Amino acid sequence: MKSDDKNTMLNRREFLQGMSMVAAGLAFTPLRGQAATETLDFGNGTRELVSYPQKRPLMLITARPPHLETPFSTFNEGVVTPNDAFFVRYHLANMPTAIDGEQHRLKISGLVNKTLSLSLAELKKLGEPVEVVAVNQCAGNSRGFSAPRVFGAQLGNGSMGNAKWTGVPLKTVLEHAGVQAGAKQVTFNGLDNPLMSGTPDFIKALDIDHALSGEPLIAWAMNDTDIPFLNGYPIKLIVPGYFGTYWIKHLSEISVIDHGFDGFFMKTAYRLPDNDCECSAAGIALAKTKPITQLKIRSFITSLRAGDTLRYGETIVLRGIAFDGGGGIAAVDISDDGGQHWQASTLSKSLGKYSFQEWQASWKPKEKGTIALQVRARNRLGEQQPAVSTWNPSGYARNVIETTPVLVV
Amino acid sequence: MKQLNGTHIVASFILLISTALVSAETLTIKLPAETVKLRSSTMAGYTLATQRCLICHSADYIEYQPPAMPEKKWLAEVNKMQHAYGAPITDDEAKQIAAYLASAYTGKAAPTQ
Repeated sequence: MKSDDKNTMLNRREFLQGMSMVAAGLAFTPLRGQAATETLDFGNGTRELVSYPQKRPLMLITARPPHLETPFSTFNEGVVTPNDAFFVRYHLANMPTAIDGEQHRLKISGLVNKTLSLSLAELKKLGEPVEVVAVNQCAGNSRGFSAPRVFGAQLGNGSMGNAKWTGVPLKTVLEHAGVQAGAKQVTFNGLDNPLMSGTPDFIKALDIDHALSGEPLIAWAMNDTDIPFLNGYPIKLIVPGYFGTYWIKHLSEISVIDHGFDGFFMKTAYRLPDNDCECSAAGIALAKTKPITQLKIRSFITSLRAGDTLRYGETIVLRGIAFDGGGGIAAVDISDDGGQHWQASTLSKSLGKYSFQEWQASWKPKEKGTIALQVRARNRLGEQQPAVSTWNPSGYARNVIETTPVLVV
Repeated sequence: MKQLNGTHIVASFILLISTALVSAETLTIKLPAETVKLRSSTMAGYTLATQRCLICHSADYIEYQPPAMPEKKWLAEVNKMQHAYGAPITDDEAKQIAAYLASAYTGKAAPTQ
């Protein structure tokens, strides 16, 4: 939200830099085929594993703007996703590459009694720090499994992660500024900017009641240490139970407004069909859409990979994770007969209603051959994963019952 | 002369201190080089894609799309870049880029080398 003049100047400079990068890129010989790869189970699904700053090798979905996905085996390492394995997703190419945490300021303006410009130190003094363990999942996680396929970042199931976030409630910051009557929404912007003047800035909005609910946080720590640069250093908006699109990185501007925000990334992008199933049929134009909001209930087996070989007659312990938008996981069941019978799993100690919920179940193969293991979660609101996948034009919010085929010999 | 030198030394000293303070708090990253290139072609759309599409995003955005997208869907995608994201592309250029993308990517396996 800069002035137009400044924006144009910056965009021109960055545009020229972008052009020279393109020119330089033409001279390179690609290194594909030499790096370690991970293959996702859909057409054109092979991704290189590449090391980015502060990150272990992750699946390279896109280089500029960067999108890195967590290899799925990582989720079997523990219920909390390590910072160096946590997925990364930017929307705009003009992203920061150097941030002075001490000089960084969070500006709060709009319908407030006093406009604020807070340093990290000032933010930390506003109140006692609070902690929440919460899942951050990309709206397009699992998009590559859409049938029919859709354009967009072609993601497997690893554009999600679970971390402990420490910060100050958004509510505390807004109350410090003093929210005025007539406030309807609050907008959030970070340091990443568009490259072209015609590209919309990545700005998201929450309703004022949600913003003041005490749930969203402005976090400065992730798993008890600084937030990695590529996950939003030095401060990030945490919206427990909501898709990652709201979790603004390098948070720098908050504005309280008296209307529904109509920016591109709320009004046009990140939307679902506005009907009960939030789904539509391919090829049919949508009559009405609404912004994507809360996570849908999901569960995964993490202790086995598709195609693993198991011994007939041997009991094994299946392990995995489940999560939802904050209703709280009530049960996770497994099936080895296409969903005709379900066996209950044991839930581990909960780290909170917004966290991955670990589960375990002993299972003994009853026959040899290929067995399709399935896992299904239900939450305290009675919501359960569907047996058949729904479809939407952007490939968002997939939550069908997952199937892991294994070979019993 | 002395005074100038003195001023110069003091200024350098302050600069040194402030540089040290800034670097202690500044987190700087260097992103790995892009490795995926657009698939080469003699079509006009290849040159246009190189000049326009790659301003805002790397070629892997295109390389990793589903393998069976028809030209009209590629065109819809290029039109989205043109109208929603402000890509500097004319309608005629959009058609040429879509024709190249469908020709170079649809139904063809990724190069492995």
